[in-house]
Amino acid sequence: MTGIELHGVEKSYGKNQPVIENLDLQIGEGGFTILLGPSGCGKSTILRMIAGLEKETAGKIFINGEDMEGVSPGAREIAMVFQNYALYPTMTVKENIEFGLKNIHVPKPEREARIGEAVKMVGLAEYINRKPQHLSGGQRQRVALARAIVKKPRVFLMDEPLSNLDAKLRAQIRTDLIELHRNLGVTFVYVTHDQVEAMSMGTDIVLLENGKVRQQGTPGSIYSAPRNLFTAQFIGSPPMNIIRAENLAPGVRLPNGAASLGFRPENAVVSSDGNADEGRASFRGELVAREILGDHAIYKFKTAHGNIHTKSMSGRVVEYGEWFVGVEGKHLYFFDEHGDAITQSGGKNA
Amino acid sequence: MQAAAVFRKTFGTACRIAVNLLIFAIFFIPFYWMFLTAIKNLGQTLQTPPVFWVSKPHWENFSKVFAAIPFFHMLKNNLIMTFGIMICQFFTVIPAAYAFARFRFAGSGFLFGLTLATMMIPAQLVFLPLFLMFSRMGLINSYASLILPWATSSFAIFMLRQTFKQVPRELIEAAKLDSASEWKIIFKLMLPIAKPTIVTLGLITFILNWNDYFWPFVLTTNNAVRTLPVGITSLNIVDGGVKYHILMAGNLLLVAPVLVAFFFAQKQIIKAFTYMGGK
Repeated sequence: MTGIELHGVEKSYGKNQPVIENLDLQIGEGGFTILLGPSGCGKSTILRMIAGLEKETAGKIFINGEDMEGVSPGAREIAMVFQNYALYPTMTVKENIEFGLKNIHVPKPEREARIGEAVKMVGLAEYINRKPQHLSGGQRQRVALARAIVKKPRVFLMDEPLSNLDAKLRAQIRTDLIELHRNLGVTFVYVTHDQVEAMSMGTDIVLLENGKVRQQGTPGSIYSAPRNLFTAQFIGSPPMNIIRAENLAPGVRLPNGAASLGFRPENAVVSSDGNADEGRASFRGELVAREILGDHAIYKFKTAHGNIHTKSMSGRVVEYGEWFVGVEGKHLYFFDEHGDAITQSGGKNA
Repeated sequence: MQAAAVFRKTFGTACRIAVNLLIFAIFFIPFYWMFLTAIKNLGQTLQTPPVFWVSKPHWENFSKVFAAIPFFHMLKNNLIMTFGIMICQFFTVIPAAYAFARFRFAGSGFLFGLTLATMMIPAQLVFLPLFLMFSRMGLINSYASLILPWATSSFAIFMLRQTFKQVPRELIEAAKLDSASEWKIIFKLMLPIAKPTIVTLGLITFILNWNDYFWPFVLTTNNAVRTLPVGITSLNIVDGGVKYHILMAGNLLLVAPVLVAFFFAQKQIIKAFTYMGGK
């Protein structure tokens, strides 16, 4: 058994409803696993339980096959990067990085070597004697990373580490993190509510809602084969268009049991011609808003079936007015009344 | 228009300087008057109208202080009492404040409330029972009787608890992940962060106890452990009649260490009141 395993984990605070109930989760060793979900879905709580900062109410957590019951956070061989960096304000960059090593009695020459290596990796060598308050947000984040790297942990835990940075810096540190993960080859568990971070960095995404895993898989599979409405609408920007069956024109053929139909904005084609071929869906609507974003454009149409978003990479600008939005049959998704995906033939989409 | 703006600016600056001068005068004049009186002779202290400058300072007033009371003995007592209290408070206040800030235990809210409530009890109410208690224990005229009643401070516990509570939870969690023990978290993380508050509290304790008159006066019947404020007050009645100049020379010697302490700690004090945490 390698990686991280959660078996029947439950977490509740006081006598309140549990925030996490009977959770089973497997996080592969050496992967970059993203815990993704809206705020309040319990993703940070899961991370904190893995770190040992919060005790699970019930269930078991294993790291590389070892039961973590009663193991203190410091003894779990993990490192964590916090959203607000949590740097020790009275210590210099070097002391911040060194603190954990001193506590586990790493001899000084080895400490120096490891610190040198870590600060080089994050590009902080010249700031080593500064205090955190004299560093920018991005630099602080790098110190937090160096502090984690230097411990050579089995598992890196990151709790929304990029959310306090501006967009440009976020993009830059995202690629740095991918590189870091490839260089170190250890398990990364990363909590975020941002699907861009999840899709760009993750090798495995665990999508959570109300403390439950809604879908787990590679970014590709989560995007192309959503197992439920929640996943379909959480991933993708803009999210998948969903049209309730009762709002569809009588002519459209749906699989048995389908309660709604979905398609991604990027798979929709805008045309002036509404003739639908076999298996193709077509909706007539009025273009009410458009966002031209350089390499792509996002359009919002008002139709009799509800609002529809489309995304075009063609560079052709669609003028305001009446249009047809068409989607090929292979790009259509169907969901039953519970929100679970079903196939064209009406079977469950496994 | 421009002339009006210039006038407004000049007038504003002038007002600000005037107010600053007034505040300065309020704080400075008593010290100046003390110093001036300390170098006058008896005649000058009683002169009407009072003189605000002495051309021939009487430095011998200070040696009269040393002659009138066992100054260095009392200074030693003062130092033992003040630093004894500060050391005791260091060991009682920090753990209590840390526990109240960081741990939830049975009755923690009640105990903290009780600690705060002790601030509301007037000193006049407790000094008699305390005196009786110390006298029954045979501790009158001992350092213990001067130190023990102030061995902890609910005000300091409250202040330090607030400072500890301001430390972001993640900092402590990061330290735990860095394998730091609870003691290490206290000494390497929390105390350095709380340093400005601790220095300020230390200074307040120092000033309060260094200048304390009432308790040392009540708890001592001879000069064995009497402190300077008690001794300085006794200068009042040297050779009969009030000798203001000797009294003020003694007072000047008494407050000098406080001024020196404040001078060295002022940076930390300002920090303590502006510190916003490590974000």
